[in-house]
Amino acid sequence: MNPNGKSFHHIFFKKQVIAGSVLSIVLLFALVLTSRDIGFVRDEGYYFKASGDYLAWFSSIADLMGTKRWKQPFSDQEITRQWSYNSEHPALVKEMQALTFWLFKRKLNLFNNSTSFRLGSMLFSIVLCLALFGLGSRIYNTRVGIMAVILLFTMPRVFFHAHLACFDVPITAMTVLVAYAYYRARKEPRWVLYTGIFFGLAVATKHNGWFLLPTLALWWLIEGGIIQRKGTGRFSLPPVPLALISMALLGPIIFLAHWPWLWHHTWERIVGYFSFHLHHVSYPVEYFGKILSKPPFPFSFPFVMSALTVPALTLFLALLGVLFVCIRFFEHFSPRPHATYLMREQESKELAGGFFIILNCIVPFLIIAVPSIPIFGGVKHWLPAMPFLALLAAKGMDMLFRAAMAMLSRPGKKMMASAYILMGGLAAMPAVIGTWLYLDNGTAFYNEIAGGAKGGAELGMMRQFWGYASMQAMPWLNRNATKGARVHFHNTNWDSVRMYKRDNLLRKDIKQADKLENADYFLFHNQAPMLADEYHCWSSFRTEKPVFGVYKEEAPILVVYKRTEKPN
Amino acid sequence: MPGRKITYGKDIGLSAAKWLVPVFFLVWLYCTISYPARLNGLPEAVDYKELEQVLRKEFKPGDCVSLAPFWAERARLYIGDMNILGLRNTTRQDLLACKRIFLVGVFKDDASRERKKIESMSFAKRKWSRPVGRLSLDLFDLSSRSTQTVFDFRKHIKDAGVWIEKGSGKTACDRYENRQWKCPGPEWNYVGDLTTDMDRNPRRCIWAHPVQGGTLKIRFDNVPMGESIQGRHGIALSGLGQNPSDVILRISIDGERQAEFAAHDVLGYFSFKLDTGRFKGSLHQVEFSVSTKNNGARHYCFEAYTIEKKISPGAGS
Repeated sequence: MNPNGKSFHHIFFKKQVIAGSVLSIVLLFALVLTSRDIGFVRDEGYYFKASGDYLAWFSSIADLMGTKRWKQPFSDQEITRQWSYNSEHPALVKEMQALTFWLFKRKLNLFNNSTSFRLGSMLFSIVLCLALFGLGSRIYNTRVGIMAVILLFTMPRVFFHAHLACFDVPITAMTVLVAYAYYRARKEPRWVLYTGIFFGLAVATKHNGWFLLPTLALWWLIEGGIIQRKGTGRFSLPPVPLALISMALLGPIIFLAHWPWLWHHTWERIVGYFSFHLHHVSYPVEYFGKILSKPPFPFSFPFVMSALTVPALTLFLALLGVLFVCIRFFEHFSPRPHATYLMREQESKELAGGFFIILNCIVPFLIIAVPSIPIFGGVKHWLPAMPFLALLAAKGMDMLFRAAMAMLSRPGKKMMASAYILMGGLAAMPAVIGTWLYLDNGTAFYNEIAGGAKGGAELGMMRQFWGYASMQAMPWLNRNATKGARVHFHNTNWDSVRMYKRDNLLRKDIKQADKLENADYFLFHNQAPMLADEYHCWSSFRTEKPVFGVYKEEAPILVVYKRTEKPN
Repeated sequence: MPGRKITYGKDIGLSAAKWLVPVFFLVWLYCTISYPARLNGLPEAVDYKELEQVLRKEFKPGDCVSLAPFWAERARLYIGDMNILGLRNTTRQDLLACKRIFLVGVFKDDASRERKKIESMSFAKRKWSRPVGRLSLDLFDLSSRSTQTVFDFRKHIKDAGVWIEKGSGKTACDRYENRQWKCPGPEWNYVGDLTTDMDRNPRRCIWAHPVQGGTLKIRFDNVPMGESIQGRHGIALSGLGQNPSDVILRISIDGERQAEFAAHDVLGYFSFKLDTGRFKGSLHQVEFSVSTKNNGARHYCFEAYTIEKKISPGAGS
């Protein structure tokens, strides 16, 4: 108890709530305010449509409730009709999108259609922010928790993905939330139940969620078998943690319960779901000037891509974080008779926490590094590693801060607080600049080591995929396209184009052309494996001179061609 | 930790961190400076407009433009109609169809590298170099090379006769649309002028997708012959890795088979050369025959020229 009669825990909790709330509010505002700058990626088109279908199904339940036909929406026929579209992914995120669309567009009319859908995913960013802050605060301290959130969301590619009505940031959020709950469940029994529930929600978010089970089981072996049994000279299997059992039991139940698609033909559809992901097609990717289109893919891919796309200073700090965890490891296992009990306990806590973070950071990398796993494009498929990387970076910065303070003679509390803010601000500054400059072209961001988008182009790396850059041509098209013009949007999804129209970002009279030969305009998304499409446009349109272009550091992102010859 | 004192003994991590504080500030400085350093030197629209003005005055038919680096294609917005090669790595062979070449330097280092490379070709003489705003422009004269192109088959595709031979039957491809002779069957069965991705480069070539169980024939009459027929061929990137079958290109002159060249299922745009010295100086009929065992995804494309040696002033007198 402190002199005011309030418990330390109470004050600590209050401080945490304030910090967490401020971080969440700032993040949500930043995401909503910048959402209009970012075009709709291919997958969003599918998810907008699927969310719309789900909303119609939920609406039908509400409409028929209390009538004799109340069972109708649950019939095989109705569920197949409303839930078969995009049934290769679980439904939680799309259900959230349906909910936010219904609330913020249909009921409150606060945002446009796309932002209302996207809010469903953005809310997961808030979960991510809070879970990461909580994990950092619990393993280290509040400073580390705050800094981890800042360093994570100032990774330009993470901030970009945090806007999208997709699953990559939601599964990242659920990964951290499960990790956080599991970490607490080691000491607090009520978190055993929460861990199981959160794991269920994670597998309801994206298939990556299933990997949490073996990851955390591995942690059980590492912590229980090695760290805590230090000095005994033998490895013995510790008791199975209740949290793992809770995950194994509740996970599948929640997975089945959240997804009406699985309520009929359950086994057949579950097999279909896993089979889809086990035999996923590969998309061609440019990597150091080579087109990688089929396995085996290089083991280095996720590591190198991250080394070139995480802001260099954050990367440096993360490496320091790993270094400090390793130092703790050697301290912990070194025979030092002078070490106090408190010292040993603190070391043990930090070591366990440090290795917990490293394990959760490395697993998503290792999964994608397996040569037979499709690598798609960009970094989104190992995004769940990034919060842990940010946490390591925050730990690295905290150690530097403590070292800097130790060099000063008796710094006061205010001075220390100011110094931390200054140092944290400096640490985030280059990343903030990068995030700001690449806000609307997040996948074009390459870090200071690579030399920016220019460096990315020189290295022969992909700067654009997913067809979202069309957004940046909309003002030009709206001003210049002839009435009723037929536009081939290239890599942009059909339903994404419909959303541009629904949100009045594209003139209603402009039509989508299914192929080049039928188009008056072509929006070419500069993606190395698709360069032939641009060349074919030159042949078909009989011009190699674009009429509009979007460039980042002179590297082309999107160019628009106008037909000079009438098609046959 | 502020407000909390635990007697630890020596904290090795903290000792190490003291040494790393200055490194942190150095990395920060590097990262922070890298943005203005990179962004300040970028060309702007006004530079490209100036480039366009200069080039429109200087450009002549038969000239080519090369960008350094090749990917910095913003110049296309202004000079996209001026025969930009767009090649990753310009070689002697790539310059067969160019009388002069303008080198547009978007970044200094790239321009300097490319300038040296072109100058290393003995026939390329730099006429002038000048800054154009933040860009640079060099003109190279290629007229001192020992050979010259007499006939570019691609440019005369409209005059070609195209048909498919299967057994003793012949099917004409006689519908000419968009610089392409359309053959019966799937939409990719045509012979025509096309730009496609051959070796990770845009190659303007004659598309000639072979047909199953037959031979695709392309005949040119009254071709002025030189010492050789030279060209390149290969399977486009879009068709690679799906079928191991070679595509065979046979060249006949006046109905007599002269040579055959195989294009394998590998990334590349490979050169071929046929000595035609005995036909030099006269007009002949040249026929290209394209065939394969399995035509699945055989996105075959080739270019060909008749080439003759130049008679340098004074020589032979």
